[in-house]
Order: sequence, then C-alpha cells, then structure tokens
Amino acid sequence: MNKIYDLIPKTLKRQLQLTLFIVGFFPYLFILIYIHNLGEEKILSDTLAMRHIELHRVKEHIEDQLLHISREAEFLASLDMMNDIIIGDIDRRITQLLIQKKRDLNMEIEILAIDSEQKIVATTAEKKSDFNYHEIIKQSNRLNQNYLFVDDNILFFSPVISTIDDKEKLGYIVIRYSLDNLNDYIVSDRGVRSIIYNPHTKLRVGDNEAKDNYLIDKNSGNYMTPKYLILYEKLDGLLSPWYLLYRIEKSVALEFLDKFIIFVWGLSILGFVVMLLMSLWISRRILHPISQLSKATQTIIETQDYTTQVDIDSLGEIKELSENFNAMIQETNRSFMILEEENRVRLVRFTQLVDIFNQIIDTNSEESCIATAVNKLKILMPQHRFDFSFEFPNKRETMMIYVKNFDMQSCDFYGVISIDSGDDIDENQDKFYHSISTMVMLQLDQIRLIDKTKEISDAKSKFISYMSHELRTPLHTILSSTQYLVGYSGLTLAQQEKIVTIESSANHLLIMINDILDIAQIEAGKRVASPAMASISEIEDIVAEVIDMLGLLAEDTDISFTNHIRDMESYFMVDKKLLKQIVINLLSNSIKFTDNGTIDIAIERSGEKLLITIKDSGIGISEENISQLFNSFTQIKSKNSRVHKGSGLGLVISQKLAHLFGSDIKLISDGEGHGTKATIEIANK
Amino acid sequence: MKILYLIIISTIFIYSEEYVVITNQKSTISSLTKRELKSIYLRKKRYYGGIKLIPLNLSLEDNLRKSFQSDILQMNFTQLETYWMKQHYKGHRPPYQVKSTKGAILFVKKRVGALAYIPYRYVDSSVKVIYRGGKP
Repeated sequence: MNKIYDLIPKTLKRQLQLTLFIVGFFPYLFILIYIHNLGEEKILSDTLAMRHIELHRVKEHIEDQLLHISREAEFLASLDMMNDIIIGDIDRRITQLLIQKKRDLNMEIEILAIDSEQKIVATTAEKKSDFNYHEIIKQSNRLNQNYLFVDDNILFFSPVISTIDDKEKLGYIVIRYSLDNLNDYIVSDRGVRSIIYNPHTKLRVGDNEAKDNYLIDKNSGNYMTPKYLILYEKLDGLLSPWYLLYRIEKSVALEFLDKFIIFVWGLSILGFVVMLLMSLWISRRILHPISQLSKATQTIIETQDYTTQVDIDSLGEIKELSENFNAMIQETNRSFMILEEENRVRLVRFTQLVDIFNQIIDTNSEESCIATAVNKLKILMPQHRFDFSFEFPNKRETMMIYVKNFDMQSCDFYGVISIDSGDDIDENQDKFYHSISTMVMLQLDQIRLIDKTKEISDAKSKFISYMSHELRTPLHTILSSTQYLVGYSGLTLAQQEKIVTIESSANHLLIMINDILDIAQIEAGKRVASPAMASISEIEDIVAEVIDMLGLLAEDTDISFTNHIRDMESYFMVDKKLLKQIVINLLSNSIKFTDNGTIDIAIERSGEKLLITIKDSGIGISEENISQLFNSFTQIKSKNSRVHKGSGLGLVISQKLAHLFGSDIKLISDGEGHGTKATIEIANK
Repeated sequence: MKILYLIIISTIFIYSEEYVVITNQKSTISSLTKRELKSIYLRKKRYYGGIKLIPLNLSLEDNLRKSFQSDILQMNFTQLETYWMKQHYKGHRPPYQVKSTKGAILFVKKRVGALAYIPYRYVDSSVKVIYRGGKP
C-alpha cells in the first residue's frame, strides 16, 4: 500500500498529468485489448461470412447463367422459324439467327440446330464438328434431362416441335457450353482463387496448377489448411455435383485482420501520444498560471516590490485567484504606503519636536523659554490655542510646569500652558504635550541653575575684589610702616629681625591679595584682552625683556634663550601686555623651583602654532598632579618640597590670561626631580 | 449473293411473270380453284383428304406474294393484317413464311400437305402444279 502511495507524484502538476493520462488512456486500452482478443475472432468470422456471401453470389451467377443458357435453347427451339429445319435451313435463316444469338450472348458457346436424323442443319461454328449427337441425345433422353456433360462441355438440348405439323419433332436446338465460360466467374486475385470443382470426377475449372483434393463433406462450409483458407458451397441445378470453392491464402484472408490490428495499434500509439501531449498541455495550461503566481510571489519576496502585478492568461478559478492575488498585493502595497506616510509624518513630528527642544534649550531666560514653547506649539498645532498663565488652574491641565527649588530641595508650581482644543486630546498628543512641558521644565531648571551659579560666582568675585581692596589698604599701611621701621636705627637687632618678618609676611600677603584680585577680575570678566598682530621679533623682545627683568633673581641658575624661528616677519595675534605677564609668571615659577640648575627658553614653531617653551631642571611634578595644577589655590605638596613662596595662583592666572587672547598653556614633567616644561601655545591669528 | 441476284431478277420480271401453285407429288390434290386457294391461304380450309395443309408464303416484300395476294385473296395488306389479328385470337396463324422460292419448293418436296406459289419458270417435275395464275 505504501509503495502505491509512493508512486503517486507529489507535485500538483504531475498528479494532474497522471490523472488526465489515466482518464484518457484507460478506456482506450480496454478497447485495444477487446479488439485484440475478441475482435480477432469476430473479424475472422466476418471475413468468412463476407467471403461466403461473395461465394454464394458467384454461385448464383453461375447457376443463373446456366439456367439462362438452357432457357435460350428452349426459346430458340420454340421459334416458328425452326420449321426451316424441314428444308435444311436452305435460306440460312436459322444459321443467321443462331449467329445473332451467339453474338448476343457473347460466350464461348456453339449453337446448333439438328434435324430429326441428327444431321446438323445450322451451326454457329465455322466448320461442322463431328459430334455424335445421336448418342448424346439418346443418353440424355435416358437420363431424362435436357443437358449432358461431355468432356469439359455442357450440352443443352431442346427439341424443336413443328408449329405447322402438329407435334412433329423436327429436331433439336443444341447449345454446346464450354466449361471455360465459367472462368469468367473465377476470381484469381491477390491470393484469392475460386475453383469450380467436382469431387466425384476431380474435374475442376480455374485451378490448373494445384492438384490437391479438397475435403468436402457438406453442402457449404469452410476449413483451414496450413497455407489456405478454403470456403466451399455446393452448386445447385445443372452443376449439382459441383462445388464452388474459394481458396484464399491465409495471409490474404487475414490481411484485413492484421491490418486492422496494426491500425488499432497505430491508433492506440497515436492516441497514447496525443493523450500524453494533451495531458502535458492541459496540466501546463492549468498549472502555468499557478507557477506564474508562485514566481511572482518569489519576485515580490526577493525585490520587496509590492507594485508587481501578475498578468495571467487564463480563465475561471485561476483567473479569480490571480485577481485576488493582485488585489491582495495592491492592498499590501497600499498598507505599506500608508505606513510609510505615517512614518514620514512621525519623522516630521519628531524633527519638529527636536527643533522645539533646540529652540527651548537656546533660550536664556524663563520668559523667552515659555514664549518660545508657546509660539512653537501654536505653529505646530494651529488648531489648538495655547495660553500661559502663572495661576494655578482650577481644572486638570496637561502642561503643568513646575520648577525645582534647589535650596528647599522641592518642586514649586511655576505656571501652566493651558490647551484649548476643540475635542479631547488623545493619548499620543497628551504624551507629546507632556514631553514638551518636561522639556520646558528642564530648561527652566537649567536657566535658574545657571542664573543661580552666576549669581554665586558674581558674589564670590565681588566679595574677593571687595575684600582684596579692603585688605590691601591696611596692608599698605603695615608695609610702609614696617619699611620705615627697617630703616629706623633705634631698633635692636632682634627687633629688626621681627620687623623684617612682619614686612616679609605683609609683602607675601600683598602678593596673594594681588593674585586673588587678578583672578577675581578675570572671572568677573573685568580683564579684557586687546589682541593685536605681533611679529616674531616683537615677541622675542618681550621674552628677552622678561629674562632681563628676572635674571637677577636666578642666583645660581643659568638661563639660556634661543629663538629657532628664522622668519622674523611672521605675525601672531597676541596681547603683548598679557603675554609679558604670562612669561613673567612662568619664568618666575621656574626660577622659584630650580636651584643650581638650568632654564632653557626657546621660541619655536609647531605647525601653525608659535610655541614659547620654558624648560627647567627643577623639582618637577608627578603626572597625577599636573591636572590639579590649573585649579585655583593649589600648590603641590611633595615629600621633598619645601614651602615655596607664592599664592599658588600663578599658573591659574597665566592660563586664564592666555585664554583671553586665544592662547593656551601646557605643562609637562618627566616626574618629580626631573624638571618641568611649560609651553605657551599661541595660535596663528 | 446468288439469292440476292435472283431476287433482283424476279423483281424486274414480276409483272410479266406467270406463277403456279405447287404441291407435293404425293399429294392427292390435282388442281385447285381460286376460291379453294383463297380459303386455304386464309386457313379456313385446313385439311385436304385427311392431310393437313401447309400453305407457304414468301416474304412480305416479295412482289410475287403481293400479286398473289391481290390476285387470289383479293385483299390488300391492311385488310389482311386485320384478318389475321382476328384469327390470332381463334388460335389460327397465318401461313408459314419461307424466305425464298427455293425454300418453298424444297418445303413442298419435304411435306405432303405443303403448297406454295412460285414463278412458273421454277417448276420442275419434282412438284405438282395445281394452279396456274398471273398474266398468261
């Protein structure tokens, strides 16, 4: 059972082909088998029956002819003219009549008129034969028949009775009929031969070669020899002992059958081929559209092209299927378009949102932040009305704005943007408005934070500035007083030492206060740089000036200065005053932290930048401490360091100053005890 | 050919020719009257002395027959035809017709009851003349 199941093709196409083939071919096969087996017998019997009919017809013809001949004899004998026998046909009227008759009959016969003395009166023969009619007539009279077989002739007799003399027998009309006439009825064609055969005398007509004897045991029948099919029928009347035989060569007799079988086979093969082609064609016709559909689906999957349409040349269900398929694809395509459109709208909305956020972030004050938000919302949602109010709403609002109170660590109500919309706001819109209000709140917080920070910074700067100023005045008093006392001769050495200490401390304090004041000024934005174009030589002059100024401080330290730049006419944008101060700060630092060492100052170029490097062999600085150096009030503590004079603000001030005219300061060190390298980077322009 | 020649000859001399009615030598008839001949040829008289009479006619076109019929039977062709039509229904047939004078003579020789008209010049001793007719 499984084997049979396995034989059934799996594809629809093959199944259809097989079904069509079986439906078309099986009835055909049954017909073929039927014809091949039962048909053979039927055809053989049909062939025999047909031949028997033919045989019978020939037999009747022969009998008719003989009967006709005998009638002719009677007719001739009855003619009035036969009285001329009396006068020996002297007028040849009988002869002429007989000749005429023979011509009419057109057979191989001889017609004679003989008189009562058996003398031939008239004949159709050219010369008179020496027939012994006397004996023949006697014999036939004895047999009581009007004919007689003599050799291969049949003689027909008819007595001539005189019409003028009552009942007087004038003689006979004799028709000598040669059996050769029967050859007209002999069929000899393509293996079929008819024979007129007398089984008693073995006499035969139409079979000169074969000497076979035929097995005849009844009036009519047929039998087969290895070579022939024999059909026979007994002749009636004159030729009653004779038989008419059909000897048919088997190949001829069964020719029709063979041909028919070949024809049927040919037809079945043709039918088979036609069936095969038809089934192939029909299955193709039915399935081609389906495979087209399948291909189209494949194409759509591969190319993602949902505009593809299947054009199928078919009718009925397949057509419907393809139409539905097309409709489905169109629907899918439409859905895709809608999705894309929605996506686009969302993207636009998103961009707008980002834009609003950007605009909001760009605002500096609370008022402009709120105004920007409201304006943008109006542009974005023209169908809604937006109003800002500081009053707490008496109904639920989406865009409630709260601000953080940093001091109290709490949230305070700030205001509300009320939305006046015609209908209800859906969830998405609600989220959208909510996100904007969140953004507004964040920005407000930021603005507040910035404002607060600025406020604090300003307060600090003011405080420092104020304090420095207030501190500097008494300090100057202290300094001038102590400087006076130093020069005063009335003091003891111990007292003098104390005074110097006071003076030194006050001086230190003053430096610190100046530094703090500098920083405060810078941070408060009171120091404004005025950059101008300066040539290399000018910068070189500034550095040289500073070296001259501070060289005296470096007691045991060698200071060298090199300018590596040849092109003295290059210009850089610097504030000369500030640059000078920066160089002073950096060089004084180096001098401060270098004992018995070297300081190398160089002017050089790195790409577009101008570098002024101050490299010392001083105490150096560890890597982790470098980053802290630029914070205010930081002086690095190290185990082998002594307490250095200074506020610790030098680097910070220098960097802040450098930043004012677009330059920068960088500090590198190979570690503690390995010196420090400070670099002023001046950007071109 | 010979026969044809004879016919032509006889046709030429038809009117000038005498004819005789002959019968078999063995016949008991010695002579016949015109009237007797007529009744024999119209097959009204069929026997003579116990012997069946067989009158013979020449062919229809024969001039001698024509002159014999007008002379003896005194009937024209139409009349004769009508006569024999009627006789046919009674089972009587017209006289047997031979083709030639020669045949007629031979017939007369062969049959006792036979009688025929022939031109006079054909007469020989083998037959008996029983009537003489035509222009003398």
